[in-house]
Amino acid sequence: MKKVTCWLLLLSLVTLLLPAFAVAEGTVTLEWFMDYAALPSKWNLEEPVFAGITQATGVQCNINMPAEDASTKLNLLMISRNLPDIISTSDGDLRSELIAAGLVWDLDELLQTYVPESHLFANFPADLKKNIIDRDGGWYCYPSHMNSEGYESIWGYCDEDTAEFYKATKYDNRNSIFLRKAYLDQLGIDVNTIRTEQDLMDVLQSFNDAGLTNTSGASVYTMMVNGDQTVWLTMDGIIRNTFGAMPLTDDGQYQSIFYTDEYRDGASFLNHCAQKGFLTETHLIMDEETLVSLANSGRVACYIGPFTTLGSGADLNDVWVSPGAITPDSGATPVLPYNAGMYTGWLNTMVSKDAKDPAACARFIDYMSSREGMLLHMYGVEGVDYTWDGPCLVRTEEGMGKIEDGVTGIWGFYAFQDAYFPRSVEHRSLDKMPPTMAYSLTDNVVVYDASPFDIPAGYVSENEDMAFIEIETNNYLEATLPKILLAPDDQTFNDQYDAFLAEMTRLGRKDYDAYLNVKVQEAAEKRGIELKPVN
Amino acid sequence: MMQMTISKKPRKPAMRNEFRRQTELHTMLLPGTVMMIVFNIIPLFGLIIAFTNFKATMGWEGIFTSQWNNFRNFRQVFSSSQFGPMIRNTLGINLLGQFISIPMAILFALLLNEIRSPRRKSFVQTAAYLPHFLSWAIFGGLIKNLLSADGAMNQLLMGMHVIGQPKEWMADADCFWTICIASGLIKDLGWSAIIYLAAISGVDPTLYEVVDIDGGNRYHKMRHVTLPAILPTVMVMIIFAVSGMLNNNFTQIYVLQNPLNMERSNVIDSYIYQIGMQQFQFGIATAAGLVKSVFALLLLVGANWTSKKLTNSGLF
Repeated sequence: MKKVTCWLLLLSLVTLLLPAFAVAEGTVTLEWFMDYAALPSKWNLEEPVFAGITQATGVQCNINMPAEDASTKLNLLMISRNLPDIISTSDGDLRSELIAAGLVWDLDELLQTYVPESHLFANFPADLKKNIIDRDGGWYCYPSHMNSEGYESIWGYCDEDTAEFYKATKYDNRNSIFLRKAYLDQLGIDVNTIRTEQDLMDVLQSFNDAGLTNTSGASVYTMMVNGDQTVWLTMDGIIRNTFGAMPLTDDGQYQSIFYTDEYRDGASFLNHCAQKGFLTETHLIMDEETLVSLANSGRVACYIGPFTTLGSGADLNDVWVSPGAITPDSGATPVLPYNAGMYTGWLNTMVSKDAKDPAACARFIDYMSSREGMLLHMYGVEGVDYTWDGPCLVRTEEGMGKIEDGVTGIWGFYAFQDAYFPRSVEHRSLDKMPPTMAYSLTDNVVVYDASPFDIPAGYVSENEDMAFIEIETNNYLEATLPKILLAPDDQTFNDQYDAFLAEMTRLGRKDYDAYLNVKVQEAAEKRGIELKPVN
Repeated sequence: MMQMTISKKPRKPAMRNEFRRQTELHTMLLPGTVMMIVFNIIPLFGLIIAFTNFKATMGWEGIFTSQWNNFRNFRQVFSSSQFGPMIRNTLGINLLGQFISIPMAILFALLLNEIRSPRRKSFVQTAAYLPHFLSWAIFGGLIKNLLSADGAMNQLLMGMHVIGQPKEWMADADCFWTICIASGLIKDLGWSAIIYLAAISGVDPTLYEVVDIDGGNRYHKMRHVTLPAILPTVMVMIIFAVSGMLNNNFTQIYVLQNPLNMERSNVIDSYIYQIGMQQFQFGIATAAGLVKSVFALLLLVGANWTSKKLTNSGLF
């Protein structure tokens, strides 16, 4: 009797566990490590996008995306020599270490060996490939969100309007000052009248005085910055550009941005916001989840930072508007760094030399980067998630709701998102301009070529003294600047800022700058760029 | 037979026999021993990277093959601008924390022992233990909410007219040590009292009867019987506390830390995490960890020696 019970228990356990290990017949399961994605943790073959990829490639993946500290996890995997089959990382230093240690495949060799007919030999722009080879010593990565003139001829535009739109909005800038349209309307303020620092301050004052509440009656924050990431995302992302800061001395030598008067002016603007009570300690210690939840529930009237933090979806473009670049009180000209060389990618996808099935990895990369693959993972299923209107596709309401939902996979495979491909299938028109375009379209903004400031990955980490100075000074910056932003008056602000700069110099930041300057000057000379600050 | 055995030259029982006789005990010891070897002994080899130029791409073999770097990692730890503040914060939080929490735990155990009704006693005990079972991620979140600008603490203090305006307590670096110590106390007071309660339960009841005969009251019993009886346990706990003086509750600090309180919240453990796990300078992080361990060992030996001198009881 006991035996029968045991067998029954075992049988039920197996029945319960079987679906969890279910794999499509004849497929290869690859381990895929990534920093960022909007994907479910399980490769769900019931979802058409996942099923479609598996059907086309014979591959399904175990997605390994740590909730935080992804680079740490990847480091530990490297130490234990347990690298995943496919690695998509945004960490440039890790990428260069993996390449230098010979732990990843050269994509040319991989594709030639396993998919010799790959579309990537024709559809990967030569200029971008050359840049990647210059950077890494070989074509080791497939980059996401890359930027190259070469792509224009590969994918093209779906119609004339779209081509016109992208030519006019070449310098899309996701970092800006965003104002909630409903509150502007409520107070009768036209966003186009906000042209200067003082105008913006007046609008913030109006928001503050109006005692705004959201639809649930909860109080509204006058302004919001990027919480505990303010130094990196708000200050470095938008304030420095708005106030005209460039990381250069008057004679064109590289210097850390916080040494410039313009950066200091930007910090002073936030300090004035703090002095007026718009910006408090609460703002500077807030985590991103709280910030996003407040912003999306209508509890933020003005947000200064990257638009992507607020989430995604076309409806955000209707909720927020941007005044574009405001003119600082100092009279400085706002600037916009633009990588006129080439942007060699945000997430870089590599294949481990220890991959158990390199052929499957090659097939996977080949398909995910193809037109067919991108249509599937970026737009979903034709007829369900989108339909064709001539040469351009139109997302259905159902398809719109699935964008980055983390379930269907649509627009969630960030590692294989091509910044240029949507131009060939999505209609855009100058009539409907997203708020992220406002900054670059402001008349007085000066766009400068920031490509010389892209320090090659590994350059700092290979010099241990400089790597140490970088850590020390960045930690000091992160811990000190927020306090300076909250100084009670101008005098204290200036005193604290002076002390901050003095300490930075004492910690060796000037030596670090001189070390980086070597590469900056080299890159500028190579590309024929004259380094000169706009202000 | 017996006579024969006695007449033989006495010798130590063979190890194998000894082991056979204690098979059950050794079996029970096995999981703990394996755990010690895997998690405490084998990782000691990793200390080598404190002296070398180890990089993650070298794999675990790199621990043994990376180049010697002339104590560079140690020099960088000691020359770090964060070194002074992190030592101050580590010692400050721990010294003050232990100075308050050990007497509080003893007092709580003594008071708990005086509760006559078993139901009330077990209710208080359970209520005091409960916070210990919440993770710091949850408990820290509660503390942050409680102390936020629109949190209950501000409502209470403003209601009592102690403060005029709400204050973001977590952003005030000067309040961090207090918050850290107080939240640790709330969370673990009941749990820390367990060991003292166990010691109290072992006190010979006849000693209390002697106090009764001498006309003493409950205070006299507590003062002259319970406290001296649990003193060896208290000393052991103090020795542990001293040796752990450089160990902070990392999770607690990590959860409560923010850029505005960093000046008072950066401790050795958070520095090691930051340098090692976030900035991948494994050599420097290991060097900092090793320095900490060496000092912890010296503290342990020192505390044990002092305890033996003062109370005649110690760990070894």
